[in-house]
Amino acid sequence: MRREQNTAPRLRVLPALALSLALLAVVVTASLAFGAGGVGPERALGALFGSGDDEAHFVVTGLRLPRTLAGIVVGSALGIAGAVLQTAARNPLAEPGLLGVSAGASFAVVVSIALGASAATLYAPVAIIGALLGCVFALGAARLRGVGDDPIRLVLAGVALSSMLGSVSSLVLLIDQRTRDEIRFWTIGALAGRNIPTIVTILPTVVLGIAIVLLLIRPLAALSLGDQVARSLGHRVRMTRIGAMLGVALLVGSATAVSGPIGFVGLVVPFAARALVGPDIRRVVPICAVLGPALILVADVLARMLVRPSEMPLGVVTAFVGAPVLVAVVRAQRLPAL
Amino acid sequence: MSRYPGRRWLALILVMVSLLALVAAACGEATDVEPQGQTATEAPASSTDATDATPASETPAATASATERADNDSDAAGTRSVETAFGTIEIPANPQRIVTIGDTPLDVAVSLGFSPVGATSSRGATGVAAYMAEHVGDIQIIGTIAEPNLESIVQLEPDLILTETTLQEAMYENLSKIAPTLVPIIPEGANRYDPMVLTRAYAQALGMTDRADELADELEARIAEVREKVGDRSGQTAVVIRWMAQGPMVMNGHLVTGQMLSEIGFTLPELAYEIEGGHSDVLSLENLAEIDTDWIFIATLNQDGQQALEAARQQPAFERLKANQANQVVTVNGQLWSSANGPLAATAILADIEQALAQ
Amino acid sequence: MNTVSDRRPMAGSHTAPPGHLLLRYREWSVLVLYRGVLATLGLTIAMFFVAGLALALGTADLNPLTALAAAFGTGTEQDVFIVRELRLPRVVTGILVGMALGTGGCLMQTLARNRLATPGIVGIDNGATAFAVASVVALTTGLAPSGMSLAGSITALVLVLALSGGTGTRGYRFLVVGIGVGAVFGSITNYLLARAPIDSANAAYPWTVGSLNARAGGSVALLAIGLAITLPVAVFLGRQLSTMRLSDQVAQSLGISVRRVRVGTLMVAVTLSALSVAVAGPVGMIALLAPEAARYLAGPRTVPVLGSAVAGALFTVLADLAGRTLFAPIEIPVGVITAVVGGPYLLWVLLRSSSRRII
Repeated sequence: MRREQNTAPRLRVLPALALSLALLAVVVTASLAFGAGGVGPERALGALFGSGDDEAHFVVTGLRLPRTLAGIVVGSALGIAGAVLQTAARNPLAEPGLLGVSAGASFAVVVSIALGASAATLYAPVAIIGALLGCVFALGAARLRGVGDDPIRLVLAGVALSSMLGSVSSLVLLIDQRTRDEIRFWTIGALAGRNIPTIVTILPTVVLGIAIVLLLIRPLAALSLGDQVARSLGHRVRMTRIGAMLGVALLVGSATAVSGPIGFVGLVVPFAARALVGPDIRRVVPICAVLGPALILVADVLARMLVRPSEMPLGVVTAFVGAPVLVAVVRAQRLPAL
Repeated sequence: MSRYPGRRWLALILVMVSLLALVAAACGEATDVEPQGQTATEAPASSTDATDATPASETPAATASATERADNDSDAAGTRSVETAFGTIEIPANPQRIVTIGDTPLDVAVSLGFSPVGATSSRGATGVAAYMAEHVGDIQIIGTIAEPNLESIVQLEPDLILTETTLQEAMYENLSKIAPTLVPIIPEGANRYDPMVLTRAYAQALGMTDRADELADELEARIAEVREKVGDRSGQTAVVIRWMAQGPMVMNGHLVTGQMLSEIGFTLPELAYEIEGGHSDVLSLENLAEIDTDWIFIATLNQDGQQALEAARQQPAFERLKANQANQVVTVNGQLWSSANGPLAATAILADIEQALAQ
Repeated sequence: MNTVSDRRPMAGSHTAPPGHLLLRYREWSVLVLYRGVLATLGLTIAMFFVAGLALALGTADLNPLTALAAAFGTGTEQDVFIVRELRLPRVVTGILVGMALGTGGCLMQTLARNRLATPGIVGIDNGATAFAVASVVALTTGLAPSGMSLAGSITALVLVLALSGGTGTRGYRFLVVGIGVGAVFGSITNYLLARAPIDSANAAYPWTVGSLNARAGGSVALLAIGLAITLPVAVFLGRQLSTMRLSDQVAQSLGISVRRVRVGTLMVAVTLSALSVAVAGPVGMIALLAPEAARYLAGPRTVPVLGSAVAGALFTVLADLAGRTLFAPIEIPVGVITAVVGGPYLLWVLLRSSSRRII
């Protein structure tokens, strides 16, 4: 099979993990310290340590803390999902957003809002089913002879799927203008206003998704050597792929249900993780689980600080952060040819 | 073709040149913003011709129809010459079959006494806006504001089309082929959300400034009436918002709702007046102090305002607002309270305010 | 290829290989494939038939003969107006847009050797949409949405070229960077739509899905000129590309400048796509489906540029007709119809294990 240029692991897992955790700790602190309002770092940190005024205390524990927690959950879900998808599709460009998995979740949400749900209710089961559908098509396309070997063909299939789902959503939105008005705030992605009950609702599915991924981690590692090799090692290739699909759908669906569709995270985080510890998925997944939240929270802090007193939508910031990384990676690496 | 290598260069150069030419032409096209005003004779309907020999500026003593003639600018008895955003056009002096594109033109047309034959559906609805429904009777819906159905409009044989000030040029070109299309000009510096400003703009074009004055008086009277019923509200603050999961959007204070509320006596937060466009960006939940007013009006597009209120109450930041604590949060019809404009809209909003506060 | 390789005589053509037709004029000669010509002819007939239907059907259904007569100016005033002023321009616009999209798609797919490649995926569609939406929600003044759309396409193209460092030998890096740039512009569009007041967002909506309703005449004229210039070039390039399917070395030894053909093809495909997006917005699926249909009919031995153009025109007019008539008087934009119909077909193509070569 064709792989990207092999880089020997630069770090062993534990040091890399420690580094990532340190980064995450810094970012989490920043997320608690900074915000779009008047509570600056000194007051916020003061409130954390018990002293401090009432308003600062509320802002930090009532607003920023749930938001940070949501960011952690969403970030690690998307990061892990991206790593798994890239391994299962044997494609370094596989990303839930690009491949239409997020589009599937969004489409399902649009339909459910049009059918009567309001912006207040939770979308988790709906989004997960939508993500599952997107996953089916993405991996189905990956198994096409001639398509699966070639990263760009898979991405093209995903782009086609996304645009098709987007247009079908448009049909729904055409008929129902109320939905159109609500959905345009949801599609830009945000962590603002997501509070603890929301997170608690999707936590079971996220945990389930991670559990599936962990169960499949050894077969997935074998899969990256090629179908034949994996089979000869005794793994069941088809079941592994289906299981991976299920795990990705659970993770992406849950994340989308919380924050709306956020792209590029599933692409950039595994790249960075692989640059740190090499391509073995058994090492990449733990790093992704930590780097994913770091990336999301960095984007979220930027989103808060850029246009005070409002906030930039998270999806836009991650796109602006992720796209240059994508370009840099593509220019630097030697990817399989068309 | 390999014997003629120059041909390939030629092809490439042609493509480049045509690309450049197209760009240049596009820039040139864009500066040509003035489409010629169409005369009424283009329309297939029975529009009045400008060939009447009657001398100008004769105001008849009494008219059978509900419309009134104004003094200035009326040519021959058939048509009037009117300044619009797309140049000067000729419109019938006594339009019988009016089609309106947009909610505000419909509102103003009905207030001025016309009975339009066709209108676009209100946003979020399949018919006209709820507050207009009883005033329009049997009117034909001719599509949505964004995509009016030109064939339906033609079938109605209109002699005048009234639109909002924000009509796109491409749509104007097409509409003016059917009937004279009036896109009014808002005087420089005037508040485009003031219902009377818009009404006067239309009224002047149609030669009905007296009726516009009447409407202004009626509105003043109604405001005074509500002010009495509701009591002295000066010293109290209010704000109109839309609530999203990420936070509130503050409605522009210059809108009709803001004007009515301040006429009643409320003071709106400064932020409401600094907004460009219909509403602000989504405010961060950390900045809810900006909307911590005595009364909060939440505009929802849902039929069920209660659901929106429940959703807002799930946010602890909202719970802390003093209006919520004092149970002074009112849900109102979003379409009416955020984008409607015109005398009927103003009256309907006043009715909502009265109902909410006089309890 | 274009050289005569087989000297077996056939009736009527002296030296053409079986299945081909040899056309001569002085020292120039051209070989065309019978099947390709037949396919194009068949598609053209179908296109005219559908165009005729489109003139007849709509919110006001007309007898086809009446419609035809009205197209030439005879008939009732209303009929003539509807057919000549409303439907005929729309059908012509649909044909032009479809031809541009079909041709661009065919060239792109042949260039990238991939059935799923379209000019839009390199980000120019998204760039055009973002700029057009910005214009409609009144963030910029000066250029009309069509002009802004063109500017957006050019900006996106320049960005992608700059970031990918040229088109590369296979355009691979170019495609990937294009996808990234497209995604960025897509999120910008979403952001603009979220910030805009609902009425502006509604007005911008047709520009995000592709619509033939009330298009600006100037941009259609530009498209026609562009098509007239680039279509012959595209046919020429198609024949070069047909040879290049063998392999680069063989093609070069036959005298084709591989690199120039690639660059030229890309430029033509992008130009056509940019022009059609400036007219109608990003109508999806046509660039994917029209070449499929043309290839199916014309067979694998040729690159069916003209066939794709005509098939594109056919599908566009058909989709627009369906959008106008299915839920009259509500009009469904043509881009939505093409996606809803074309999407499942596309997925079906993707999911069944394909035994046909992917170009």
